[in-house]
Amino acid sequence: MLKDTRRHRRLSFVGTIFIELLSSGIEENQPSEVALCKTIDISPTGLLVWVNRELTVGAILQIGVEPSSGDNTLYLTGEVRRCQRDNNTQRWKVGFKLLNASDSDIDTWQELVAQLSRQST
Amino acid sequence: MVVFTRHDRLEVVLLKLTAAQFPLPRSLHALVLDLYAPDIQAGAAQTMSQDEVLRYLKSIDSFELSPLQAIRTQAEAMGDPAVLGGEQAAILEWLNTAYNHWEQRFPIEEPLASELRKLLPLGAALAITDPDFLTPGAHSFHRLLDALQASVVGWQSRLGRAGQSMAQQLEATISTARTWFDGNSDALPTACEELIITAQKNKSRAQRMAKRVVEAEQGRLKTAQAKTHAAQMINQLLEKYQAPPDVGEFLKGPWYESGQLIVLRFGAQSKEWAGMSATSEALLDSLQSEPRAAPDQTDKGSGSRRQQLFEAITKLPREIRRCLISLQHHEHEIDNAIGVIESAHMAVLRQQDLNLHSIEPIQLSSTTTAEEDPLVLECIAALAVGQWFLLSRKNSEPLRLQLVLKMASEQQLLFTNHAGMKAAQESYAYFAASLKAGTSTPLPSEVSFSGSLALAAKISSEEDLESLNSTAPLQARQAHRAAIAEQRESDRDTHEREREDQARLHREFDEALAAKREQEARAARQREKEQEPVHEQQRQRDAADQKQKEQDLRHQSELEETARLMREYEVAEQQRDRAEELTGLDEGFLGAPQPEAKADPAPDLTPTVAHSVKANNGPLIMGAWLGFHDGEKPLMAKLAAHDKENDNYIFVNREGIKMRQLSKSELRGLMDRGLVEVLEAHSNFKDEDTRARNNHRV
Repeated sequence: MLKDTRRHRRLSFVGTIFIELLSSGIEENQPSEVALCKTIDISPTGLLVWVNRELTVGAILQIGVEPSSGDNTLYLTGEVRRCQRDNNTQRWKVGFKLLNASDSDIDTWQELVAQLSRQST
Repeated sequence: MVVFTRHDRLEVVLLKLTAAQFPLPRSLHALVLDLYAPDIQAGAAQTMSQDEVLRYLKSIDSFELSPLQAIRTQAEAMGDPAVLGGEQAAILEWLNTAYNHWEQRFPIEEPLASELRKLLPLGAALAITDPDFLTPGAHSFHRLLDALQASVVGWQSRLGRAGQSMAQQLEATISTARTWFDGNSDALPTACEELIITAQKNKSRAQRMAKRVVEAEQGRLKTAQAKTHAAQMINQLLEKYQAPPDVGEFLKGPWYESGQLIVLRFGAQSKEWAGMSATSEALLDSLQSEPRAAPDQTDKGSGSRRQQLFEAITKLPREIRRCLISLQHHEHEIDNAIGVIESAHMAVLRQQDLNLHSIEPIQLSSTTTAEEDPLVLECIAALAVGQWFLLSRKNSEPLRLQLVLKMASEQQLLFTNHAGMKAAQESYAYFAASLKAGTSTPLPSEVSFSGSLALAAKISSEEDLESLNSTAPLQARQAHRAAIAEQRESDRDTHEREREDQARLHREFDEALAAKREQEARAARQREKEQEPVHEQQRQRDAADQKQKEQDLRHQSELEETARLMREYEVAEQQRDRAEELTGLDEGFLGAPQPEAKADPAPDLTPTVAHSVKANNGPLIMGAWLGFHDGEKPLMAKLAAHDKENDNYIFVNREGIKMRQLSKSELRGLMDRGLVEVLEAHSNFKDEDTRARNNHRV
């Protein structure tokens, strides 16, 4: 069982996100690999998602989130903090810490989560 | 002789002199005057002083013209009656011939070629002021152009950011070198030294990158060879022996993988590989059904076979376990594999049906080994690793590529670009044919400018050089020059006398003409007095006509002046645009080489990457690939994030694993020292994400 060490309140949120598991290289024969994943819950600084393969803890990956269908995609940068196999589903629960990165949509993300948080209370 | 060697001979034929022969041991002054000095015109106008020539050279702004043409054009425009001295004109003509040859024989891609032409007036100024210039290879200007050509022979504008540092350096070098006109006598050696250092740095960087490409390719080749070797051994046995399907699966699975590893680790000639091959055969042999002996017969041979089987069956699991290095640390899987073998052996001992089948051989990817055509091999043997080529292909821009590896076993050639990145791989046969067809051509890069200067003075071979060094031909040339000078002197005397005669005749003619005109004028005045009214009307009409003509002329002149100004404006605009394009390149990564930035001791890097980090005249975004050359091994890493909280730049590999983390000042320091370059300035994650999202919706 993953221990909840988040500083912020988690919100249950099942949405579709895309994670760049392998980025394209600079040579032609090095395509990228983007995986479709489902979120379990979210917070202003993190995400818990289902992934179909094991990820390396510490890896910093690009994440694309579409808050709801038709919305502009938010692009975030996340560091894999935890990755644990779920024996029932044969998938991995992966915890991302979202980086406060320039050129990402972290500010919009945090506003969105705050808004969702207010709505849920 | 074989046609394939043509490309190699071109260099030899064109310039048989090698780098070792430069600088030439003697000045070409006498030779240049012999070849290029125009006949001195007797009574020619005054000769320009050296200062005047230098002023004209400095103010050249139309670099398409030769220095000689440019000086004449300027002198004509200013109404300067002076002309260039014969010696100066000869030297400039020689220089121009050499430069034109250099541009054609050692082509550099635009816009660098046009930029380099800005150095030609400086070369002309040096040629007429510095006697050393007449010795190819001895002058810093020669070495500068030799070094420039060698460092940009593979440069292409398509390299983008990876090629921009060279373009910027070239611009700076030209700018520094041209300060010679302003009295900076150290300008040229300084520019030359700076350029050589930068070129060497760029070359080392590209070589490190290319080395990685070569090592990766050699690794791939070795792996492919190991794969083939292991597959061939197993396939030969599968052709000879039948086997139960599960054993066949084992042989084509973990056994095959282990075979590849053993070849890779110990080599195909090793005892380890010999042991594995023997074990493979022993295994398959042990599975062949024992001929069932007749009950009434005690077959001695059958007993011996059974004995062999017992021994093999006892020994084989241990041998197989030792060879199964692909399953090292996977004891469970090794046990499973051994279990399959032992189960088959039990069946053999019990004389049960093993269900033996012919097992399909391991499929190898079709590696069509080209026939070894001796002509092709001869052609490829003549190519040197490190040599540059221009490859023209249909429907694409020509590529400048450096040969970095000849893969004899695969008959393939590997090429990298100016940045040291893999750019092409061609078969021996294809490349030899393209050389023959002229769609691939070698790009020579050795003592290019010094050699062109020698060639323009008809010194192109060792024989020519020997002739230059020997005193006899020199004396002959001096005698020849003396004879020419004497003839010219004699011509000048004759011409002087003729001129004096002509002047006397002119004077006599003018006097006679003046007397005649005076006489006519007197007659006219007499007639005017008689026809005063008619004459006045005619005079007024003539005056009006004259006025109209003057207006027309003035108008025409204004139109021409306007057209000239427009042309000048257009040229100036084009030059400004070109300059802006080049200057625009300076707005690079972290704004690094801008003079303004250097003037500021603590340049402000704005907090967001989008604003502070720029490449290709735009922001360097997340996902951009950078090359680091500050360590022992070059490192390529992707910018994953600029952490706003800690103000760190985080660089990762393709899997997202952190490779470097640098503070702003550290990154700035590396940039300033040219130890970081942007290899790919954009990320395609957003495109990939959008595509994946659309596919998901569908």
